[in-house]
Amino acid sequence: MERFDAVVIGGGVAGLGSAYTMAVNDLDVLLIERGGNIGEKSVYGGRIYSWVFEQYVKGFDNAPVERWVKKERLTFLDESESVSIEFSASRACSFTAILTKFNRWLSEKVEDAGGLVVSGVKVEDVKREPLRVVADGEEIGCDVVVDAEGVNPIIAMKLGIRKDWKPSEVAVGVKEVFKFSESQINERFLVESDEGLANLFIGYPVFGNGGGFLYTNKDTVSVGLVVRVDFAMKKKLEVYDLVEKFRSHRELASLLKGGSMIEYSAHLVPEAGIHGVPERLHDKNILIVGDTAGFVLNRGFTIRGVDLAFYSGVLAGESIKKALDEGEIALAGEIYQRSVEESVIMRELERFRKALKVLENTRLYEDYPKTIIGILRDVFEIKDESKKLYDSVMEKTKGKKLRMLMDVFSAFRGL
Amino acid sequence: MKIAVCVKEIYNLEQVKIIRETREPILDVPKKLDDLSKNAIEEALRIREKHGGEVVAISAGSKDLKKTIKEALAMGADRAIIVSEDFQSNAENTALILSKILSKDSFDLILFGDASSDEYSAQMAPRVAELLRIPQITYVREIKEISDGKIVCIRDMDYYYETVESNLPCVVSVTNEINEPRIPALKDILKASKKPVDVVSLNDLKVELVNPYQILENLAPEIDRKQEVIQGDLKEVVKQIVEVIRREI
Repeated sequence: MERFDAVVIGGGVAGLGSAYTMAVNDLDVLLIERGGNIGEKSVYGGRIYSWVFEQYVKGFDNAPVERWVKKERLTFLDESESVSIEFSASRACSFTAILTKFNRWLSEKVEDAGGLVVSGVKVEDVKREPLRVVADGEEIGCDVVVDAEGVNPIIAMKLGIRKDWKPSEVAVGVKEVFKFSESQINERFLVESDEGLANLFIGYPVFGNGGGFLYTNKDTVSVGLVVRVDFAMKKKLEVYDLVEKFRSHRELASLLKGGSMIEYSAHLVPEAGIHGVPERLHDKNILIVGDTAGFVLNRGFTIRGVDLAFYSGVLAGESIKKALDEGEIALAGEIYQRSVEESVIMRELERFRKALKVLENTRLYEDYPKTIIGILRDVFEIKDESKKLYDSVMEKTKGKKLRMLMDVFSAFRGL
Repeated sequence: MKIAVCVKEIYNLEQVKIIRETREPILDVPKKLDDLSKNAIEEALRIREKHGGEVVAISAGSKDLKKTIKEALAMGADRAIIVSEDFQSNAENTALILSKILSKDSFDLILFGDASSDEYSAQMAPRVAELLRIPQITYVREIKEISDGKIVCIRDMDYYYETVESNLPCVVSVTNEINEPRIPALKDILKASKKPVDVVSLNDLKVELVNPYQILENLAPEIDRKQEVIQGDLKEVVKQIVEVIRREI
């Protein structure tokens, strides 16, 4: 039987983070990925917050970054019109990337550090006492398993480490990638070659829990939608239909004009925040990381997953290293649990504990975008007589001022 | 038996996307071992199982080759010798590189896939045999016998099969009919990571590269879609679809 210090299940960002951390700490680590190539099954919106990679990955300067996000745009959509707010930053803290490429790059880092990465192999089971990973009918012995299966953690559920998601805890995300030339993107989105735009959309066509996104890559644009599964079920929404509507909206159609669609993908996104994180993140020497542990933070206007996933992998790797150094590998899970609880991951999820509740409020997605668009239309649309801003605001918010004020207040507090 | 198998890394063609407007391919996709190279490896492994000896995978390709070559090792090749750097890639240069590597050792048999799925020019085996000044047997669908320094192969000539005998050493290129390549199991992949890969540089090989031809354009063929949409009542629609199919055949 082959033996490793650690076996990592899954070659997404979290699994790669843990494998990388263990490999640079000279642990004998094997990562097993189900997809034919690393990154093939990885799907996300399009933007990565860079802090954790800058801090932990040697040679991050050579990472396959598409563009550094310097423009953040929030757009409210109704059926035919839109209002946008744009923040132009002097420095960037996130970048756009093609996750497939980014993960491939990370896996090279793992291999350069001495880790072994195997793709195209499915882990069938994890057996305990002694700990073994079963794949391809073979058993591989190890001291510790890092379960980085992702959002659909079959093994973690089988082992009883985490429960399956409820429809209210996950969203379905759909993404399309459109090809342009680099200069077309620079001109259309008014960015320099190394600068990018992140655009989030609230309102049409979801008008509920979810929204659209658009990210500029070097010579492609990633655009898509995220919808909470329970909301889509309740309203009988078909995601492909929503994407079609979204893409055909005047605002989007003009941004995507002339582009050629080269990729389509869909994935589940954990969206329960802290409520989706199991109390125990391990069963002795089996540790769960990334989406498997539910480490995704949805603040409405930003969704963070990739950086938290990678960081949880780093913490798992460091905890395993520590437990091995102390000569008591069975402690790895406990050390990991504590380090996650004390880390920025849990602090952030805890800070936005109320976000989920606030984001349940459907008025945020329908009434307010329409109200804002309506007011601005009144102000800017002059035929003969013009309307005073004050009158328009009073008229459009008639009978719901108090409720709106409370919504705004709770959004401020929760998000 | 000391068997060399010359293999080729190609783009994973299933993942290549085409830009509709310009018909240009986007080649930013992972590489893989060509299918016919796998047939050649498989045949070498079967010969080794029967006659004993060593199977050496030999290849010249991009920086990704260090990774791609592991597929050959996982299948069962004992070791590999590769050139893994960016060079002006054309059939002549690859043949010069491969024959230089091959001439540094004494192989009894040198196997090739008869062509590669990307360019399908079927030049490599003949070119290398010519450079090494040894006999070649192409389009081999079966290796019948190896004994007493001789090899007997059946060539697939489309309309007939030709049985050819040659002295060893000899270059043999195989078709995909020759066998069904094995799919490596996890334990084979793990073993492969410990097998020696000798990365040689073009500098060390002292190959003088040439540039005899250029590819001027590489575009996907134009496909005219009819874009006919049939709508309406189910019964009517079926009738119309049948009508369209009739018209087209």
